[in-house]
Amino acid sequence: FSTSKAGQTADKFTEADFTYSINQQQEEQKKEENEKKDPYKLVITDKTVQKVNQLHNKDSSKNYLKIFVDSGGCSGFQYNFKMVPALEENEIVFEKDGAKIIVDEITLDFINGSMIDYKKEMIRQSFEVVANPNAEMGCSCGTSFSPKEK
Amino acid sequence: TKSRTIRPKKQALLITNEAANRIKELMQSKEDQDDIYGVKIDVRRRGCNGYSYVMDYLKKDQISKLDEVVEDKGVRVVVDKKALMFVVGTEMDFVDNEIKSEFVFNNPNAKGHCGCGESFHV
Repeated sequence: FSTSKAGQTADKFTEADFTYSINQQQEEQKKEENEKKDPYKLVITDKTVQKVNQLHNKDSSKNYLKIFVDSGGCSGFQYNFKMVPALEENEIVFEKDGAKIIVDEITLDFINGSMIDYKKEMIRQSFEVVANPNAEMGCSCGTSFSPKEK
Repeated sequence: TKSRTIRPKKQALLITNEAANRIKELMQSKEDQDDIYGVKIDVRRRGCNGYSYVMDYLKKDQISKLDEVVEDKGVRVVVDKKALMFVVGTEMDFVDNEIKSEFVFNNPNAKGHCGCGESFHV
């Protein structure tokens, strides 16, 4: 008799657990939807601004720094940077102090909320996507990352 | 009695013209350049593929006894004694394009490297 009682409580427990997880999922979905409604945001550092302007001054036909995500690298995806002359469809422009950075919408889903930095080290000077809230883990060099599961 | 000749020591690190020019540039841009003896190369156990290269300025009194000093094309590169086994025979190059400029190490000892080329394993 007592064992069946224990079984009942266990059942109840899992049921409660289950509804809790559903609620959580719904909440997370709502959160995601809300985030999608928010405008895209990128933090652009002064060093990035400086470098993009410098590249633009060197070759005035190249107006924008384009950031795009490719598959590859040791963590699944990698960031790529390119100076391009013109905008394409579905690309969003971020501007700071004259420096224009363009990202298409698909890439933005991967990097929204990140900081774009131009790192100057002795061994390497390059653009980097830093503190990406959508990435789970990255490669040590910072060019490769794996996105968080949604 | 056999006459013994000492073979000239093989250079531990090959430096390309581009790398040498970049090192010169770095040395000139450094403010307290009189103090600086050269650049130092070391490896650290980090990165997704074992080891990665580290570079820094070096003062003369920071060289330890077993470090390998490579003088070539007007620049001095000091290879740390711990790194020597990993990098011996490596070609040090400098690649510069608009998006990034970096030192590249073509290491014959490396059996593989990470996607971005920063870290390697032996």
